[in-house]
Amino acid sequence: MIKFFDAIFNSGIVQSFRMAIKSILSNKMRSFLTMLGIIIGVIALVVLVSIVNGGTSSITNTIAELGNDMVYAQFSNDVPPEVAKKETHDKWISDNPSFNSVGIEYTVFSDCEINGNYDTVMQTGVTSEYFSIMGKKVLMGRLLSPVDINNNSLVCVITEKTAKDYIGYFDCIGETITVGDLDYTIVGVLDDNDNSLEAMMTWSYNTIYVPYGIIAQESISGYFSTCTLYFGPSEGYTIDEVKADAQALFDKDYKDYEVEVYDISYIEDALGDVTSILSIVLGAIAGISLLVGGIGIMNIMLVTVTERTREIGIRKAIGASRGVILRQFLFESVVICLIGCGIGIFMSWVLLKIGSLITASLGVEFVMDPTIVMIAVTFCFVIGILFGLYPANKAAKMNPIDALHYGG
Amino acid sequence: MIDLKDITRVYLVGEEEVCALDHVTMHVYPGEFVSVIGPSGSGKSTLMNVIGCLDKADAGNYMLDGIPIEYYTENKLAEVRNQKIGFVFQNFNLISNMTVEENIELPLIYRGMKRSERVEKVKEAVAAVGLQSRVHHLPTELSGGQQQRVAIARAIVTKPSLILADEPTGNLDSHTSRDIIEIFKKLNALGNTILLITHDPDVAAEAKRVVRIKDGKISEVTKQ
Repeated sequence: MIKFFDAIFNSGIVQSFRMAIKSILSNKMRSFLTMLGIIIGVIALVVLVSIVNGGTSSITNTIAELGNDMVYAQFSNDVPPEVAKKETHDKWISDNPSFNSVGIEYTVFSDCEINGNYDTVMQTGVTSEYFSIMGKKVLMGRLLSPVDINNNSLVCVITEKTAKDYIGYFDCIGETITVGDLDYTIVGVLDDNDNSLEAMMTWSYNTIYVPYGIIAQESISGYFSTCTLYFGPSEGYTIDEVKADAQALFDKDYKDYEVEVYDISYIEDALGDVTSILSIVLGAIAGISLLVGGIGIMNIMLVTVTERTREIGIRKAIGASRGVILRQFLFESVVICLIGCGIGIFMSWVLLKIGSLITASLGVEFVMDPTIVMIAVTFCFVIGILFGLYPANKAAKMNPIDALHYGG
Repeated sequence: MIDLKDITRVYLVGEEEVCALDHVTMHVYPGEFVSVIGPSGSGKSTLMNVIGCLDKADAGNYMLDGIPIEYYTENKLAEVRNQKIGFVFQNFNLISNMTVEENIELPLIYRGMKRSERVEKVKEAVAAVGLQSRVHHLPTELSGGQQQRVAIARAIVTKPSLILADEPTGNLDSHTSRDIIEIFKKLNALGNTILLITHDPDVAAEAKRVVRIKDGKISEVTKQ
């Protein structure tokens, strides 16, 4: 082992490396300007790709919050009464191992009066499972309980917005809200900080959540209604499997009703395509800027070789072989590239930190991907060799006599 | 040790052929101190390049320490230069961004010597030219005479068979020139073979043997 290191140390590789560092340091300004191309290229590569990745993961999370992890079944016209029953849901779950949970949302728009204000309110009839499936959290009070649902109790959970608009304050547990002919007691206020698709589509409405059975009664006054069932997948089942099972269920038992079974994973798929194309395009642009940086290195290495012709002559005279000279200049261009790469990666890290601080409020975080760092280092190494080879070869091939007498 | 036989070297200058060396035959024996003297354009630099294995002759045979140089490849010649020849140039030819120590160490690095050995050898060479106090300086911080001493140290550090000096005093004042010549004499006394090329008869006269070259021909050999 010691012999091995000894061999490396004496083979001149260490010397070539030291000489490269020395030569770079002896002309700091020029070395820095030469590196600048590589630094900018690396920053472009690392920062752009990290931003795309950060954006993608943030959007993917948002889509997940929209509810891409469930299957929807929406009735267009008539709704069979039994689809709201807990027994029916339990039967579906036991018949279909892919279903983990079934929720329902039966929405009707009605007029509402409170404190002398009249407005349209969205009454959403739900089961107690609905809140957990949709990831809704209570801000105050409690959610609807199975007992409320079974008894069709006249209780409701309202959104923060409803509380603000109708009651005027959040602490309204126990107060009464009148919708149509029905007086509901408010038992809970929901947290509106909710990114679900449903919340996005209905944010402008004042919504109250009531036991489903109340809405399912035909006597309820209202002018537009929709009924949507939600199917959450069991562990180990994909959305597609749940979708197929749900489709089969409705095709078999409810073929006289108009039901549309769908999921929203297509949004994520489309977005994935867009972001991967974006990554490739931006990566390619950054790659081009790295290539330009590489050309800059070749240019300056050619100048260096010309400037140091005499030195090359001296080295050859005292016994440097072609390989030694080639290695020396190749090391120099590779070291310049790698130092530039290191500075670029560090600056990218700083920029991404600053970027993350700025966008922290949007929930977007830019993380430096180790893969892209590896790609950048490899790319810089290859550029160093590729663009250093021609100047280094030019130096190695010099005739010692001409080189010794160069410029004097 | 140096065995030149009918060495001819022809350059093409424009359309015209210039015969820099014209059937030169010459011998240098181990331990000799030979000077080659001739006016500029006489072919003495070409002779030095050929002897120093920097250039190959167009015709003739050159044996260095019994090695037939004309059959060697460029890399092999580099090895021969490294192991058998120590160069001292008129304009010192030190590498400006390396310290005195590093300049002297360089031929040993190319030889692939261990660091501990290199340090030892560099120390010896520095002591031989009397520059112990200057080892960490850059060449630009030294006087011409001191720079030439560094060059001599670099030439002798590998313990070469031959020290080849091309106008070593050409850029120095007469006083410093004397010092440098004294160093060469001392090295010769220690057994080193020295071939000194110059146009200065006074310098040439310091050698034990003077070879005169003119128009590419060795015209006179003076034994002292």
